[in-house]
Amino acid sequence: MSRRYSVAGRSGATNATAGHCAATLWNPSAGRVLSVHEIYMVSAGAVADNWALVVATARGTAGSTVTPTIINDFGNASVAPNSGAVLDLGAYSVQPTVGTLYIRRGNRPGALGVEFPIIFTRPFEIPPGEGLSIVVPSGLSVAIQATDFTFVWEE
Amino acid sequence: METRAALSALTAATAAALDVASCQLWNGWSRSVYVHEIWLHWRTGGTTFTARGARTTARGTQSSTVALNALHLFDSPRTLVPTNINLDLDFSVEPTFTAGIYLFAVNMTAAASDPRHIPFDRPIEVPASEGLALVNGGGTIGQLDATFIISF
Repeated sequence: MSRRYSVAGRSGATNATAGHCAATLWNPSAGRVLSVHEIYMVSAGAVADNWALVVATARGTAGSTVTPTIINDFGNASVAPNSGAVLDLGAYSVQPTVGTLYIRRGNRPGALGVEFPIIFTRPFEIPPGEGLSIVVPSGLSVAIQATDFTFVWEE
Repeated sequence: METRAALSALTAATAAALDVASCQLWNGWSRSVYVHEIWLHWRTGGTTFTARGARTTARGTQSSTVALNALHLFDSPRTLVPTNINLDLDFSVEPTFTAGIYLFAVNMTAAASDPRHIPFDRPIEVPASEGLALVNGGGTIGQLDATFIISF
């Protein structure tokens, strides 16, 4: 049976540049697929911004990384994620490789504590060696403000 | 098993007129496509906006479009079968639909970023060579972040 995990962390503000990344759930495994069920974004600043959800095909270099442990397991018989999945957070010094084929996008008002949940009624799968990123959408030059991110997945 | 995918884009601002299209999921594939959810973020703010869902029977002329790509697919490995499924934006010739006959409608407040989730407990089937458009139902200028969750 698959195991469910969640991991959370706060990003720093991105640059005001399209494609710049605020957070990525990265799957470094060679053979395991992550099934993402939910993503939560809560603004930690009070500046309006825009975001897009997109597949990342190269990891880049994150500003910080949260590595889940057995504590992140929803189950009682806790096991650390076998995939080695990590939450990478901005600001990145080298951006992950992303395109503009967005899975979802939106915008937030300039208020602290605005929450936007992304609930997948059917999970979105991250293959080995790929990630799922929140980035500044193309055509827009507005930084994604500092944000508390939570990714929930099964593997 | 069905394959699920999402297409997402920022629409152009519609004209301040009733029944002009904001965006359209156009099915140019040979089989039906099913719409499970639509997510909207009201972008313009400062005024209210009404979006209505209308079936379209001719595509019109779009100035830009997002074509379905393997990177839109939910399932791994990503094997793209359909072709010619598009999220159309910014129309110089409006798609053809019956004004006054809508499948759903939502209102947005005057607050920028007002989000709307439109889930369909049973998906809306869009046959081949037809579409599902969001059209202006309030006569105000409107710009949306729009996402269609589909399967095929």
